[in-house]
Amino acid sequence: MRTTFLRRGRLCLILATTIALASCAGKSRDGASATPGGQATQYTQPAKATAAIDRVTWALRSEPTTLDSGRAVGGDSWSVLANVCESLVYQQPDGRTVPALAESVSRPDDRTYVFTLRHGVRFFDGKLVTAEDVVFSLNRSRNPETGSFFAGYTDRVSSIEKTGADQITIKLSKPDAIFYQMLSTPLGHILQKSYTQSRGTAYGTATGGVMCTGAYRVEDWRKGDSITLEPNPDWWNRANRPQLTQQAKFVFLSDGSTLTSALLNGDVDGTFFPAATAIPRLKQSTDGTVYFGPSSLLHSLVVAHSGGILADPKLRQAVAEIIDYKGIVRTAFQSAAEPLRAIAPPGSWGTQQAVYRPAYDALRQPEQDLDGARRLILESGVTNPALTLAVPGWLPEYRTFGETFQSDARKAGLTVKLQLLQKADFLALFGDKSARAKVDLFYTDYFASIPDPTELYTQLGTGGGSINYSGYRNAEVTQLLEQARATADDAQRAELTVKAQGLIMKDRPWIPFASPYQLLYLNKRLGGAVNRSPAFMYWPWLPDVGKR
Amino acid sequence: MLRFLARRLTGSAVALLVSSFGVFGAMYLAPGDPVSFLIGNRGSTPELRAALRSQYRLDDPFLERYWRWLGSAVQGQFGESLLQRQSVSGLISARLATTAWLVALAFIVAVAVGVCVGVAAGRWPRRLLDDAVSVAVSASIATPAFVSAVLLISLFAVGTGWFPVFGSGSGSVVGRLHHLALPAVSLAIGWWALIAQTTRASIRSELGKEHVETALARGLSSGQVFRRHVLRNALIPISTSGGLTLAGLIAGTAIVETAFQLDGVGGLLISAVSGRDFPVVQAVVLLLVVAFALVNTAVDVLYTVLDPRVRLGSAA
Repeated sequence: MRTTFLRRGRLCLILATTIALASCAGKSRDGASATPGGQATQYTQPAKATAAIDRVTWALRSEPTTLDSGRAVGGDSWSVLANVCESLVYQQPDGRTVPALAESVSRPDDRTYVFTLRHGVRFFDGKLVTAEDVVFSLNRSRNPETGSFFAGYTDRVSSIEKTGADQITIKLSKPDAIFYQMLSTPLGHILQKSYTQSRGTAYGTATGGVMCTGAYRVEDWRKGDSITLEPNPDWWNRANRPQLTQQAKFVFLSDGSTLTSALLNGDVDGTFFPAATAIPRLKQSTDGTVYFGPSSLLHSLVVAHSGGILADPKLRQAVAEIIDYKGIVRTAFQSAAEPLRAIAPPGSWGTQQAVYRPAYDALRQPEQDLDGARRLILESGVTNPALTLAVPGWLPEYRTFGETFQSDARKAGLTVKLQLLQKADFLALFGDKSARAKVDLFYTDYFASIPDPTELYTQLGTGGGSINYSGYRNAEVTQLLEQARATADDAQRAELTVKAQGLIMKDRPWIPFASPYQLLYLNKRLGGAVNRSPAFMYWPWLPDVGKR
Repeated sequence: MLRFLARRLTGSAVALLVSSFGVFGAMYLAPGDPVSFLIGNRGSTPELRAALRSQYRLDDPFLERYWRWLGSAVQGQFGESLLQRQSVSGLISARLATTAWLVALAFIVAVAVGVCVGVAAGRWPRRLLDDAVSVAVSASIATPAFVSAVLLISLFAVGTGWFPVFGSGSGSVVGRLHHLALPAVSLAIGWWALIAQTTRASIRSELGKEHVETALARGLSSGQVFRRHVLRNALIPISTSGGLTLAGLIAGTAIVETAFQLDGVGGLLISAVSGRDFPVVQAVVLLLVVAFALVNTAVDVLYTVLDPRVRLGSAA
């Protein structure tokens, strides 16, 4: 997860910004690879690695609280876990779900999945993976007592059972194409039953350890300092994908300016999370390169509840027209983002570009239109319209967004009361209805969990969805998404979701404005890292990192 | 002496109890909980939140939680970190070495630089040196540690590449010194100035005293007078500010350890506070209170060594 505003240092970020600005002020800004807002995206990919490398230092923005697949939340822990634990299926960087620990998957009917285990896969301790381990792991993920972030995705699972020596059958109460794809996330990680049970709540901690089957195993976890991974000599996929990185040390650099300095002087070789404010400085580095990749990241305003003046669709549209899309992309994201037309960004379309692209291009251009907004506000008939917008107060770029929006809104005849919230108050908006009742709109960044917009739209567009903050309901949308969720064929599902997307973008429960590119910084001696989200959180990417 | 120590001990225990209750209360009243910190802005169902809250026992009444915590703390058990699921004492002890190294190095830097500069400025007043010291002192006091940290990193880690940007360099002493040099300087910057100021002021006032003039009039060499009559008497205020400095350095580790991403106790405190990890915050704060109490006691004892006229009973 690159939930940027949750991960950064506070005060130091201001400094990082100042220094980043100061350091590029004197020099000409060529911006050669930056894409001018809204135009065709130019992604850059690192060269392939050609040789093994002894040691790589990789930066995370915070120390994982745990490497227990059932409890870990967020891009930091997931990007490490992707190399340590595996599921029955992989999510390939291109978005396709393919068998991994399962050798084959069959679907005798639309509510049954039968997995045949791959032969001879071993845990780190050398023991073979059994059907019992798989049943245990999947049931553990869906057990509410585990407290897995992903448990909500298993609501249609009625049973997970061993149906043969190396066969597991999952039965669903209703067809669910999302669940199958979600199996590629930590939801589906296969842990060793005996080990996990014996460690209890210590499983996944620095002392309790991890027992999976992945390309790397945790060699050392020095609390507060680093996590070191080393290749798993028994990895089943070793012949196809030799582990080029011989040792990876993950360090935790929550402070944006420290991270930038460490990348520049070579103390750190790479990261998926360079601060956007540091992009100009990193671009000028002669020791490494910033790459821009497709991402499922999005930044959006979210309607906080169903009441208030934003109950009027005209005013929600006015909000969308007040946003200075190009300005925010240029300033807050240093042009490493694109203005967004729909909530699901292009990087989340997966294999269904052909369906999503034309529908996306047909949506309203993400451009500021203050005259249009003023007209809409007049048409709404609300006298002296005013609303409250909450933004994370401790991060300058977000604050700047809020202030810009406020002054643009005034020009269009809308009064915006800006609330710059402290972290705890801000986070409360996501879990506490009464906190949301005090504001009309709030800022969020987010990313689609899988490269299939059906998931994102189901979560925010149907009743009971985990990010449907305003209690948004539209019977037609619900029906379309329900149908999409039940459709196994990828293209047909995309067709249904696109229709729902069109309706949702009229109703605007979220008002998206930018999709930052997935950033990757790599030292020049390295190549081969995946530069795509959400792939880097689920796909074992470390084996491919090596000398270029 | 014993009575003095007993009194100190009781005082410290009361301070510990009060501060533990204060911190617990503040953490309880502050908005936010570990659950929302864990999940962040990822969507979550009310069921998941409820499950996590009950796992962490966050719904128990305040006094019950405090009482439970106090009960085990008295037995030396500080419980388990909510976020890390590891014993708090284990988390802290793994990080003590880094913080101890950092504070010790910074203390040496602050005292060595502060006393030398202060003595020089005090002995030869109204010269260029004195003015330069005044400017440097003001600049240092006005520079917060997080600013000096960023400056030091960009000058000596990114610019020259002499020092690493982050990390505490466990293992060899050389590795430690190499990694902790910049953090120690950054931590010491505000404090050497305090010591220099105190030293200069107390040396000046000693220099003007009658007994110094008498000693000089009796033909003792100025060096001898300075060492035996001026410096010795000046050491009492200097040691007070030394104690103050030590306490300040310990508190300052939180900022410096975060800026240099060191695996110390201060950094642990910062992450625990923002994650609302009650047991860790409590234990670290108690550790700080104990450290302050120890430093104060040590300074008081030091007075009696420096000046036999001071009795502990009256000094306390």
